[in-house]
Amino acid sequence: MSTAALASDANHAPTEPSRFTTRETGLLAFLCTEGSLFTTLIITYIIFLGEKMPGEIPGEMPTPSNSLDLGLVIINSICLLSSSLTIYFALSARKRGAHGLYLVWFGLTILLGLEFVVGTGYEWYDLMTKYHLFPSTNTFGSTFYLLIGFHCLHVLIGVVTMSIIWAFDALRWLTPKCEAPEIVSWYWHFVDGVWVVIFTLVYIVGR
Amino acid sequence: MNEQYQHDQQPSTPQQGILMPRPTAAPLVLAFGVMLIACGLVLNYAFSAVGLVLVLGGLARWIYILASGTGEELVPLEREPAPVKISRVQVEPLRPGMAGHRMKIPLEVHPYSAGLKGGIIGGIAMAVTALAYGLISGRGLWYPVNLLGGMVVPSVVHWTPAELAQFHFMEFAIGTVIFGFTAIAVGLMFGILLPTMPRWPILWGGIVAPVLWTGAIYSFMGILNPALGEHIDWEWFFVSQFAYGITVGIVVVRTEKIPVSGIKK
Amino acid sequence: MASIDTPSTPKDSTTVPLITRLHGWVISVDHKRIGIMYLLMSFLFLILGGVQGLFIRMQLWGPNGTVVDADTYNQLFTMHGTTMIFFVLMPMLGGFANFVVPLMIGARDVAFPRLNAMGFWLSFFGGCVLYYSHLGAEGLYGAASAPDIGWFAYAPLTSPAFSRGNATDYWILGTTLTGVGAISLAVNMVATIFTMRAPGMRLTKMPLYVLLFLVDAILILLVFPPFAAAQFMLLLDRFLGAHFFDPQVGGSALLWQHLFWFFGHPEVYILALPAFAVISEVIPVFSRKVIFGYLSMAAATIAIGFISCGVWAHHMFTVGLSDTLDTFFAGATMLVAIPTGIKIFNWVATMYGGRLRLQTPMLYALGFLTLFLFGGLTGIMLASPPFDWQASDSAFLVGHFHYTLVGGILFAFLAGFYYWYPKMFGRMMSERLGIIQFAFTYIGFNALFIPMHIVGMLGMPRRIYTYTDPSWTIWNQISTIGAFMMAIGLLLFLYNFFSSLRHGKIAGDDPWDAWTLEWNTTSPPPCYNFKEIPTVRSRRPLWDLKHPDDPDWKHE
Repeated sequence: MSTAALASDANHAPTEPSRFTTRETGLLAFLCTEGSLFTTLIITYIIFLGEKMPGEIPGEMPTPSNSLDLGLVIINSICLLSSSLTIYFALSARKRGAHGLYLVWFGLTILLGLEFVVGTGYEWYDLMTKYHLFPSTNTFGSTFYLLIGFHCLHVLIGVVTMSIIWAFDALRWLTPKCEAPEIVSWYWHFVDGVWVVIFTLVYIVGR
Repeated sequence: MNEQYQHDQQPSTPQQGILMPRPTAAPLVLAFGVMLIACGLVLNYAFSAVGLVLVLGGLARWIYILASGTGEELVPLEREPAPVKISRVQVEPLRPGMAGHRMKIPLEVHPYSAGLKGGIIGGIAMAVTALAYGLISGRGLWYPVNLLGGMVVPSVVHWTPAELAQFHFMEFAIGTVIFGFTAIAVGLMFGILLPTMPRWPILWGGIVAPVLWTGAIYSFMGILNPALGEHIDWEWFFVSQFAYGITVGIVVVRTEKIPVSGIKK
Repeated sequence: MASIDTPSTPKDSTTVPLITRLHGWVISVDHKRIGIMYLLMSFLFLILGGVQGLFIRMQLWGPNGTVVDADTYNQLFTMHGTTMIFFVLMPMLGGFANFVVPLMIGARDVAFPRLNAMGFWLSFFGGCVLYYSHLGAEGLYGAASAPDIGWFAYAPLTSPAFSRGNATDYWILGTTLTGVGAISLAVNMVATIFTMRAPGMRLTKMPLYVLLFLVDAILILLVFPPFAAAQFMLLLDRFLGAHFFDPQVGGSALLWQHLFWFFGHPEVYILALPAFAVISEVIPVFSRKVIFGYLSMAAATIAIGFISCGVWAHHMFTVGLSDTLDTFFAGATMLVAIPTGIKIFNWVATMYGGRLRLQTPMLYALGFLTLFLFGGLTGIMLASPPFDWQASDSAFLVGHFHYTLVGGILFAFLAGFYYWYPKMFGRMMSERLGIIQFAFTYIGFNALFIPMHIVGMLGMPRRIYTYTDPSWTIWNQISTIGAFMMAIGLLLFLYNFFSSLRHGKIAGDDPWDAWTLEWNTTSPPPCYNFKEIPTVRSRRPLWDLKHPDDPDWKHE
């Protein structure tokens, strides 16, 4: 009796169906890790929220309330959050087989993500030149740049990955069964979800 | 673009070979590049530049492999494993009364409901005793309840005797939860343990267990909550434990036993 | 999968030049080869970390030792701890996960073979970066030096003011790279175990080994990122002048301790669960019995996973947290004893009434049981804050955690080496050498660490480079002798490992008469593992094949 005999056993127990494909499971595991990472960063931000330097004169140092400007951030946030919607449209177009429409929506997603990265860059430039807020200024600077920086890095990685997939798809190198667009959309939704938390914490509650 | 060779290519044509991922240097190059980028932070930014080039190169190769679907190759079959030998050794499961084995498994046990019932009835007996103590000693009906709540609510320690005699909803709620939970949990435990005790189960459950429990609480109270320990009347505490233990014991022992499933006689 | 090319790796290893064969290993994405490379990496660093340990013991031979100076001593214990945790035990974990798990679940490879290779190389290069600090880290006086901050690197020791030069940076980068490697390993394990099991192997029908590695991988996913985040904050502190861990400017040195131990304590369980996994395979096979209490073992594993994430501050009792926190963490820590106790009872119950075969894997498993029990009991002692206040940062504590990490985990891994070696290389390791090695390692280990408990109670702190109290001398000398005995034992192991590659007895496919799927293929397995994916009906598929009259699935 060998393995072959075992495999041909007719009344064997049924395979347990897996809800997710291998790659989806891998991505979910990765997102767990990311969730843990952002939780740490967010908790660190909360710990140092409102923390003063020993001997600090009030108003002397940049704080969330006197340096964070809501205007630009709201535009950025609208772009980022609506990109979740556009990638959803893109994928449903892909499922229907509407290749052109899919490329348009997916491209729009990339542009919106890019806007967020550039917008964050502007915000940082302002903070550094107008308010002289650097990571070394105070704990607000340290935690702010760490948290926003990590998130922005994730957006950037998403934008680059999506651009590569977009280019490949535009050249029709990927088969319609390819899971890459679907998986990158999960990642993108995750990054957007994290932004909702960060935005609420940093720009609304913490300000 | 597939790493799921196992699911996608099912036992297709095992004569030719099996599709397996092809060896590639891309991960190695990528990892080395990442290391150089990291080291550049300390050594010199030139290292990071070289690292970046390597990372991009490795990544490009990797993406090419995925996108072009050239990541797999057909591996020829090797020798088959030796066939599994059917063992002649027969295995006989242990059964009670088998010669040479001291297997002792209770054939009949009390159902869980016995412990549950015992816990509830015993709890009532204990509560009645404790409340009777409150009335008889003149410290008030709610005195024991407030003390029990004081296990969690620290400020109870500073209460005056008059306050301790009054009804407080918070302490009542907490006390009831602690009391009910403990009474039922210990009852369940008794239901399982008592039948395994030799000779007189009620003696073990009704006297030995309360003595041990009261002794343990008495010695730990100094650490757990010293201030509260001063308020407790230890004789009555013991009596109420005793009432609980005896009641649970009687209830459990009087219930009918059920046969254990899964054991062949 | 558009084009299928001809095979690129030649199979006949005798005619192929060495460099080609090495190249074949380096670019391999085969889970078995990567697993073996992980194990070889752990040997390399075991030798390095072991030599550091020997230097520490030689320095402590007598009062006012002069083998090394104080600065070197600091570097020695830092490198010893970091090496042993991150570059010896973690790669062993990676090796056993990679080699055995896919075989055991009847898969042809892991879910993401290329990612797997990248994870290994990141781990390995992380170790290289750490050791490069010996050459490249300019210390205070321009001389190269290694990190000297202790393996948990408390702030403000790591601040730019107290840690000049780049040694600390190498430490940060090396451990972080390894951490990323560990995360990719864990992603792989989770995806592999969830989606690539053989038909019929439901989650409840997995061998315990696989289940334990699944919980282990999930723990890695949850606790390595906080560590990476803390390392990143430290980098910002050191390079951009941020103030995370600098109390003078509003930062918090305590935050580092919380973040580090939130990783550091589960890390101990991340290392321990694979050890439990190995033991859960070895003991049943060598007792010729089914594992006792499969479900309670599974539940205890998951409970350990959960509880271990809520106990980290027991490393910080001496910091002066509030009484409430101390009580909470002490209680949670003692709670761990319950699932761990369940496991030990189950292993003992598995042996009870079995026909024990005292071959080398079983010897090491028994060694594990005794030593891990001892380490666990001193752990419960240390879980009580009043005792911890006395014994923390003493040699007692060093003795305790070596009993869990070396006595527990390393012994279990040694059992695993002897058990799966025939599957890895097709030959048996020498039984005779194995028994001699066991004697050396077991006696040497106890001689090394029991005196530490005593001398710790006498008041000897950890991490002191020398002492003056003559009453400590005798205990330290016993320790040092034990250390050398243990070193001989481990060298014998390495000799046995490498000489058996050529001279070992041919093993055959199933030398131990075992019951899990990996023994249902050739030794060593072909790169595709199984020609046809086997179908599974019980937790011991090979038992079912060997005993068609009385298969397991009738009982489970």
